[in-house]
Amino acid sequence: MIRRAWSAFLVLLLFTTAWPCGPIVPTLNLVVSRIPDGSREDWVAGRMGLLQPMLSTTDLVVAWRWLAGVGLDATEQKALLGPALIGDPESGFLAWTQARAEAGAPPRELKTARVEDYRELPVVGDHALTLAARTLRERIKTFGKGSVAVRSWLAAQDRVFTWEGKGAELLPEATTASLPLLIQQDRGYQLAAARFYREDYPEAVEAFRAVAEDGASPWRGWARYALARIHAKVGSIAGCDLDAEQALAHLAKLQADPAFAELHADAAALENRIRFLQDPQVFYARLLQNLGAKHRGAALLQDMEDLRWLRVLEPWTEGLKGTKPAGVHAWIHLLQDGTLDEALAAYDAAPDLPNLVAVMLVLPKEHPRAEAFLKLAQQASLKPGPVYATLVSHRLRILVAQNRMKAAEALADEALAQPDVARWPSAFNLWSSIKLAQAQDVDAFAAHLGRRLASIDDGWTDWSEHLDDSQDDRRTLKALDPMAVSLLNEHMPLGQWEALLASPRFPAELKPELVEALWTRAAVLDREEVMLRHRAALAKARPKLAKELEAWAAEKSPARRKARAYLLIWEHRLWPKLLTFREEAFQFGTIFARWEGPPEPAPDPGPIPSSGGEDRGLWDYRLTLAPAFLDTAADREGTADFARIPAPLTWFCEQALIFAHAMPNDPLASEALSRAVRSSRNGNRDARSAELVVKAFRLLHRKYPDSPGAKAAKIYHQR
Amino acid sequence: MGLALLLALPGCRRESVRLHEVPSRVLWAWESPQDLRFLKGDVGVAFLGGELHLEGQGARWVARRNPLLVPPETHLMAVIRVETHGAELTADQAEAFLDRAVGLLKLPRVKGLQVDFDARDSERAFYADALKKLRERMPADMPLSITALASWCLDDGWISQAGLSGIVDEAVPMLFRMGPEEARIRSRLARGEALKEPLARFSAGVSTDERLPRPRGRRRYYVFHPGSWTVDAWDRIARDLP
Repeated sequence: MIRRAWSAFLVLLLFTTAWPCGPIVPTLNLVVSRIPDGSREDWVAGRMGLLQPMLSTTDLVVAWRWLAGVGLDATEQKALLGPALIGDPESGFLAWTQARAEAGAPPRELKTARVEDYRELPVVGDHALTLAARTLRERIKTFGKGSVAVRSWLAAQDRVFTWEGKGAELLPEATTASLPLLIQQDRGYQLAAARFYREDYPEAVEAFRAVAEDGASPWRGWARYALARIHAKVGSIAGCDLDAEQALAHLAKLQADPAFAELHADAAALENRIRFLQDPQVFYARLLQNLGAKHRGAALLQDMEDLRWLRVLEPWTEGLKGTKPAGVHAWIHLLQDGTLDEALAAYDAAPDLPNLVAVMLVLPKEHPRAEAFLKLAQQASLKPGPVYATLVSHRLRILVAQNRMKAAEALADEALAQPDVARWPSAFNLWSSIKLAQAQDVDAFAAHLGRRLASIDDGWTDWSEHLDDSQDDRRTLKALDPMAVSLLNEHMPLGQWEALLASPRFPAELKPELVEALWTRAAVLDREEVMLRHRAALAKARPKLAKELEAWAAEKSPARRKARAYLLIWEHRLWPKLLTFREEAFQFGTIFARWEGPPEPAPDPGPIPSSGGEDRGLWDYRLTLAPAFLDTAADREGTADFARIPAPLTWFCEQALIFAHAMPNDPLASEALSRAVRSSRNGNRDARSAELVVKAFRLLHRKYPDSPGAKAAKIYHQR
Repeated sequence: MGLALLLALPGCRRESVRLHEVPSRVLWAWESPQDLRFLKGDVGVAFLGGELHLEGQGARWVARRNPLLVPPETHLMAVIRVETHGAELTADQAEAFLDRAVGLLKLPRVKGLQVDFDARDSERAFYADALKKLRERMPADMPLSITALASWCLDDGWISQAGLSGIVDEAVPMLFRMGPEEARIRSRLARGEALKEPLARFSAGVSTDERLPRPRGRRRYYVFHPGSWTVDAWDRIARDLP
């Protein structure tokens, strides 16, 4: 958590001399686009925050049901919040490996998948491994570890999972009458399963049938499931009369057998697959009907999974090629791939809330119907409800684009006063950014620059870490608005930093980072009086620095004081590296809105090609932050401050060289030089760094060749 | 050793000879069903072979789940994606990386390997070491490519500083999904600013859903497309590529 907040603040000390800066800074917003805005519990209960088009199929179906007035009842909500239908794909593997170890068996290689078309196709599924692990443990409990029965069972099961070998000698051995009945019953199923994994389907069907028809076998339900699965997987088999009707009949018997309740959900899913294969059109029509039906109960979870599965298969689904998506499926397409014209046509054909949302998501400010839709959206968001956060956010987007900032601010005020705003980080961040852009004084600026980190955006795990997304996190301010940070960095003088810190409206939870950044910036700008003013506050905010700060303040020699500040900053990494910030920003996984800054000097024309909906949901506000309190004089001073800040490596080297020349016999001199040289490995640099690091290196090794600092800095890095 | 040295000799100024057979257009085929049989001519495919998640002391492999279909003559490069989540970066984890990476080379017709790992500062030493070991286990003439954050190539220099010249044949700067730095990086590239990282001078990674940056002197473009590639998507971007 600290790291998260810290990273957001790292930019406060951005060091560069090469970047262009201007008086107007476009804002960025912290908005998630692939997970619900707020908790899943709130989402499924209809307390929805900002609806984004690239949410998962399940989350969009939930949203559609609420918008369409279908909603979800308590049973449906509970089912959706329960365990996912698809579990951890590694759990079976781990369970089986562990169970074998508990049986005293030596480790054995297990291949669970084969490669085809450059992908891995699972052969031995997680289900099978979990079941095998559970059975092994039960048999150990019944017959004892190391017993003949368990050894026989395990040897057979190992052969079941050795599916690459085709020879009959690699099949599980037949049991003898001396083995317990349970082991003999197990063996029947093991033999059938071994045939199945080897794709000897006719033999597998025969063997599974024998088990299914044995009313005493504890495996009869599993065998029925396996028979249906074989049909779903390979269809009709030469020389075998297993057809769809038989497969469905097996599943019906299985679902009617209370002894196999744990298989009922899987049986229902498999039944759907078979019915889809039988007649995709009929299946699809029924699926859409179910998804729009009230009180589907726990079956809704499977419906959603079926739609997700169909959507995953979309480009490849032969049976549905040419079928126009309908119902919620059509709506999802509209959100993710539809054009404005398509959204308008959908709304004109059916002027309901889902279609209103579809229009508002893409409606541009200059459209002839913009005013009409703003009014419709206003009427639809008069009171809080599932659509409130989404419609308000898009009304704001359009108002801002139309430069109607007063109206936007009034709407943002109204929205931020909603009690539910604490639940929705994305909506909160968007709405706050409008208030921030309109801030007229330091207090207003302080009041609205806090942002909530909205958990990770799970579609972007490429550069993200999983964040703790507890309710507390959502409701607590954890970061600054990124562009407010740019304003601080590049335009605001130290005096305004201090005013901000002193403001009673500045979020208390963010103050430790601000005081740390302020103190460090003051050190770099050689403003010791500012450092002294905030020493106690920094020591309180960062107790681990307290002793060093005390030593720094007690130091009589000004040169040594500077050196101590330098070493403190170096030691505690108070000087963040620009590159670290960039990567850390990615690690947060917080999606920064697509934004367009001031005109770029070189032309790079052309709209973003529309190649799908992948980039939808990135926010497109174009706010400007030009607060009235930042007058020309303050801006000039802040800009001058910023221009004086060198790259970290340059500053480290400069400070070390100044000190070493001033107090060459001081023990801190070699240490300061050493740390400057070591910074050349990763420290961000500017045009002066190269020369300075060489000077620091030479001085260190010429003057202090035997010092620990020289030994720790045997090389320097140069580009 | 001799061959490896020879292959590495061109160094910074010329592209590594290992890359000579890699086409100038390479599609990134990510984790979606990819039917690329429509490709014609000298177009390569770099496909995600799997993701290695390093967590704590563990290593979890998530293999490619979606099919990839390509014309028989397509130049194929396997991509291994590495993700870390509080990883301790142990020797076992390095070994897991090597095993998985080398495992991808055994896939049919794979002629090169690309590693996609946005290593943080603290992970760079581990990454560089793992790449060096990986090179030792790869055929001497097989290209080893890595993806690189744009910031690594513009202002940083850690790849070359870590002694990866001659080990890695190219670092492909990913000029898309650049986050908050996007506008500034685009602006710098548009002004003609060169990428400082020597290994990043010959190729660029772009995406079909973002404006094309115009970096100087690129010979090879890797192109990302969200979701499944289509003929239209490829035709559109192929027309726009320099």
